[in-house]
Amino acid sequence: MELAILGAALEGGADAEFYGYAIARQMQAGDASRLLTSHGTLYKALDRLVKAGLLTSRWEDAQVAADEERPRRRLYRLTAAGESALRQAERAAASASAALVEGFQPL
Amino acid sequence: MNAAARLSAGFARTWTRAYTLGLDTNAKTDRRAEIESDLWEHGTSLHWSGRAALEMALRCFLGMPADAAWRAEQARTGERAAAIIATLLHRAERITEWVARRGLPGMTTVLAWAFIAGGLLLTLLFPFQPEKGAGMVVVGGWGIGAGLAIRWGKTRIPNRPVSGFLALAAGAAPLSLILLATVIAPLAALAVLTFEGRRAWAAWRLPKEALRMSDSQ
Repeated sequence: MELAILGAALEGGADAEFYGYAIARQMQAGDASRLLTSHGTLYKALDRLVKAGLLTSRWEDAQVAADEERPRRRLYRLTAAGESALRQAERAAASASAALVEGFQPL
Repeated sequence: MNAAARLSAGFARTWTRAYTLGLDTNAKTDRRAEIESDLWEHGTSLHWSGRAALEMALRCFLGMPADAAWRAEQARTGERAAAIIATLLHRAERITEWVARRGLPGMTTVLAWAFIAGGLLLTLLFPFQPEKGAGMVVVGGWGIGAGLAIRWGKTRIPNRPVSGFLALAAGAAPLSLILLATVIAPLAALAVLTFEGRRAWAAWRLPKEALRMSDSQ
């Protein structure tokens, strides 16, 4: 879940800010068969990522939300550590996948 | 605004209030405000339709274990952890007693309706599409059939207990399979691995100790 969030965040742009519901929609768009991520799973994962320093978060300006007549959003942003952790995980997955394919090659 | 969507949002809000009770003010207000914002975004993006109601309810239900786990994580770091754990244990004891006396018959009804509702939901949300196959429709149909079997079995138990229990067991089979796959089988595998690991460790260590003893003699 954490990697999916980081991946979706990076797709939106390394410097872009996002909020919970938007990231849930983006993750669903990446895999059309899945349901929207549940509240508990999503916000628990976001909380962990913030605590691990892979994301930063801030509450948006109350005036902006009031102007648009909606509740305030909690905005998240990918940190450099988050981006690097994602790249590392992607490299590890790619190398594991390559090793697996190699193992099935005929001798 | 659809009444069902309002109900789902209200339920999610109430659940959030419940599991954040007793947290320190910052964590509590942050989580509640974040869920409030999510519900608003979700409801608005789907025009507070029936689909929004279903999705919001599903997201809330499916996230409950994660919410509970998150809450437990917060409690561990808080000063009131011991008091909360004691209260929870006390409540768990009372709940267990209630379940044993009254809950089990009621639970079969809830289970039956949950299967029927879940089955209908899957069939509605993922209708048959030739290019994607009929996976969810089959699962949905299975859920509806299981729910009807449990319901029928429960009403039959007072007069025909054998066929009633058989129908109930057949209906509850999907749940049993899920429990088997997610809880019982992994626990059994862990037990076997632990046992085998300890045996292998003992077999490896014994000759070394014997060798050391013969050296010292």
